[in-house]
Amino acid sequence: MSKWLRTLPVALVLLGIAVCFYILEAKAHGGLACPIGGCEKVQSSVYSHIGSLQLPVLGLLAYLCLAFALLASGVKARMVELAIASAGAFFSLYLIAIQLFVLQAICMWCAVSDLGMVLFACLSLLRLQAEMRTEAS
Amino acid sequence: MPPTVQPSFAQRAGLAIVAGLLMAVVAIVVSLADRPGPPPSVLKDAVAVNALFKGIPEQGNTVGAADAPLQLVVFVDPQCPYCRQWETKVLPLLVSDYVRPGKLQITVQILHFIGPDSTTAATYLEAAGMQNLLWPTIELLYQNQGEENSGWFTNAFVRSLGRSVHGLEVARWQRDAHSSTVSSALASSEALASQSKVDSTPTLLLGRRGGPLQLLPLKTLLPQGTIPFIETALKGTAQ
Repeated sequence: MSKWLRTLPVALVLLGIAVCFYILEAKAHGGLACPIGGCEKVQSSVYSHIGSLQLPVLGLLAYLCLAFALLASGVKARMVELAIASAGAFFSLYLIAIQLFVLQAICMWCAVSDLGMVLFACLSLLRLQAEMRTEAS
Repeated sequence: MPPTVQPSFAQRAGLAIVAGLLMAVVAIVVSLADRPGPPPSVLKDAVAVNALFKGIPEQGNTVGAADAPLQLVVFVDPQCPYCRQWETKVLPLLVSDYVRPGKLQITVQILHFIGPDSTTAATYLEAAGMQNLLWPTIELLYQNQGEENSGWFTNAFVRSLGRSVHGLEVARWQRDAHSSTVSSALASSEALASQSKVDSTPTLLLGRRGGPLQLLPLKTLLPQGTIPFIETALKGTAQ
């Protein structure tokens, strides 16, 4: 497995965790920095939570699961990683669509996390392929 | 023993992606089930609210006869639940017993400090004032107010609200909501609130027409918290 296939997913997980923490912290204490506007509208909308679970908490859980999956080795671990990342990516695409077409507002931090998850899923696919090649050789 | 056939990359990747898709679908379904449904085509209490204001003169954000002896100024935020209580419990009595007979004129000043829904709603309320229909619009909004900062003031709610106010030209209203006239009106309300030292909503100022306005010390948001002040002031104007 190439070096960037090992390091880039780790960087994305760390970025995702940092962004989720930042959103939660800023929501709790106010002052979410929003260079392109729209964060407040998105974060205060009915789509910012499922029941009492705030979406940044769900994102944090997903990134932590991915972090554990990254630590494990073998094809099965890569498949679990891809399954979690795919779930995250599909849900992220749904959230991006909600922002664009329903709320008509973009939260930059949410977009960073969402796009990071989509990129992670693409990398997971390549990581599974690389792991299978390694196992076969 | 026959050799075992290892699944291909496509099979393994497909299995993982399908599992992921299923998890995402479950999350999306749960998320959608948690959403409030769309507002009805015509909002609750539309008939009663339109009837309440029918035939009463309105001008911008003011309702009631221009020569009414008493003037009441109300500062509200569209999302404020206490404003809702006052607007739904007290205002209908004031309109039927004091505004309609020409004893009282009420002016609303719309503030928007609670959150994004307040700001959006405030622009549509001021725009309704440009058609002299602010009062049935704000009353209907309060009758159908959503949870604070929950994103309830949606485009669908705007359409329902527009359909529910008799005589409102909806297309013009939606255009006006984004006009500089509306922005200026909201800025004026904020300036007036600041000048009058209004720091909460609802805040009521009462006075004789053309005279100074006094802050009403609202002890309750029920009719008995407002009406005695109106009665006392009316007695004063009769002397």
